[in-house]
Amino acid sequence: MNGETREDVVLRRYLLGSVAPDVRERIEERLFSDDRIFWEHLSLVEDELIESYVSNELESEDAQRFERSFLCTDERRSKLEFVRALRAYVATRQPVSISIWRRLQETVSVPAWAVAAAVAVILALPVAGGLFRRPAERSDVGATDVSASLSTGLVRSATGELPRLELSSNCKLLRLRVEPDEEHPRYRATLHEVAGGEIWSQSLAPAAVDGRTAVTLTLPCELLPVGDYYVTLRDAARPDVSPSPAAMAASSRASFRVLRP
Amino acid sequence: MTGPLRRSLTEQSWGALYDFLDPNRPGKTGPGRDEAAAARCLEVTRKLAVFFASRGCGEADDLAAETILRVAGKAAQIARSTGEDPLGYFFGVARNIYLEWLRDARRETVKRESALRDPTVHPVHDANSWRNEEAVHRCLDRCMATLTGTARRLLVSYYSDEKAAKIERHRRLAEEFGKSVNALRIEVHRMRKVLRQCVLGCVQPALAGGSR
Repeated sequence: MNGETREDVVLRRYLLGSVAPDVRERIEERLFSDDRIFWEHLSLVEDELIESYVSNELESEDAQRFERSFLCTDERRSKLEFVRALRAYVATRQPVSISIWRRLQETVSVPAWAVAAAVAVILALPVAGGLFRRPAERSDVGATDVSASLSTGLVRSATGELPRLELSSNCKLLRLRVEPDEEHPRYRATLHEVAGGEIWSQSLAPAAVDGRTAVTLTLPCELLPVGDYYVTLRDAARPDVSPSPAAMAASSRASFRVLRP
Repeated sequence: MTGPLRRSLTEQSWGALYDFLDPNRPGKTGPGRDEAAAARCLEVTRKLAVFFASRGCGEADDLAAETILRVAGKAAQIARSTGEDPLGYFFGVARNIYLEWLRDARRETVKRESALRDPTVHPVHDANSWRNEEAVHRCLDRCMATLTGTARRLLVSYYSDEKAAKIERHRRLAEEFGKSVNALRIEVHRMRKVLRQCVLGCVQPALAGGSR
């Protein structure tokens, strides 16, 4: 495990019941002291031990000890279920990437999807209000649930400014409807922060909305502080490939700007 | 503190136990009077469970509860004696209970060994609450949304790779967030704890109330 210290190793063995009696005594004396840092540390090692088990990282003997001895308390069994649930949950969402700009500095192969599936964003846009096809596609400033339509092809307004999405402090959920370039049975829709990395991703099935095929990305508004973002769609069946410098630099990438009152 | 344990204590012994755990409690009034003692009691119970589990006691939760009960029974006397360290006292009682358990266990070695081999000996706690993946994910969605954007990103990133890739990712994450790997571990640990409490609070009502 990364960052693991010698004390971590000893505590882990203690939790698995495999330390020498004198070591165990010393640990227990600290356990029943007011040393809060030690208690916090032991709790951390316990959580990481559970994670190691869920990730199949334990040696077979330790895994046996884990199953036969460690899992004897309700709390630990509950923690185990929680970690399993959390990992399954994370697996359904694209891993958040390290800084995109760091990736730009790295040599990575060029994924075709990053360019081909870039989408343009047409949002509630005071500057380029003429881009809206229907009033319903505007975001409702002040509403708790906000919907906005995205479609491919157009990135910026005639003035060169990014399309804007105004989100009030009441906003709880944002639904971004995206019309894909290509047809696939399922898409991986990813929201990126221009100055950061991937911040939200979902595997989504397309649906017909007003006769147009679209996928709807639903995410908490809290996820979008003031800043610049863009959305990509790709075929969910294709393996995940890191965006390459070329792909990231491509001007076809769709962007939008979030404003807050 | 478990329900059955709470019920098995008289009001008097319960009060004495709380006074023992929080010496300032007798002078307190109002609804928050028991707060510190209850938190302390929960922590002691958890420590006792760790103690018994690490000594191979399959009934760690029960033995921890037994320790609390015994201390509660004598708490009024102990509280009157000055200078008694509550945690040290629990530790002493726990050791005695462990020795008793060991003697009983030796008498029932065969039975215990077979119980340890029995996979049903550790049924998953509140398993039903976790089986409905859709409900659990809804709760995770909801609880994740209560974290800050940075915290959420950090947590999801932390869990996104396996083994070697994970180590490298954690190193990079630490670098990106301007922390040491160890500081990152601690931060993730704390966030995970908050998230787990939130999800636990959400999962059971969600299932009881049907789909939302």
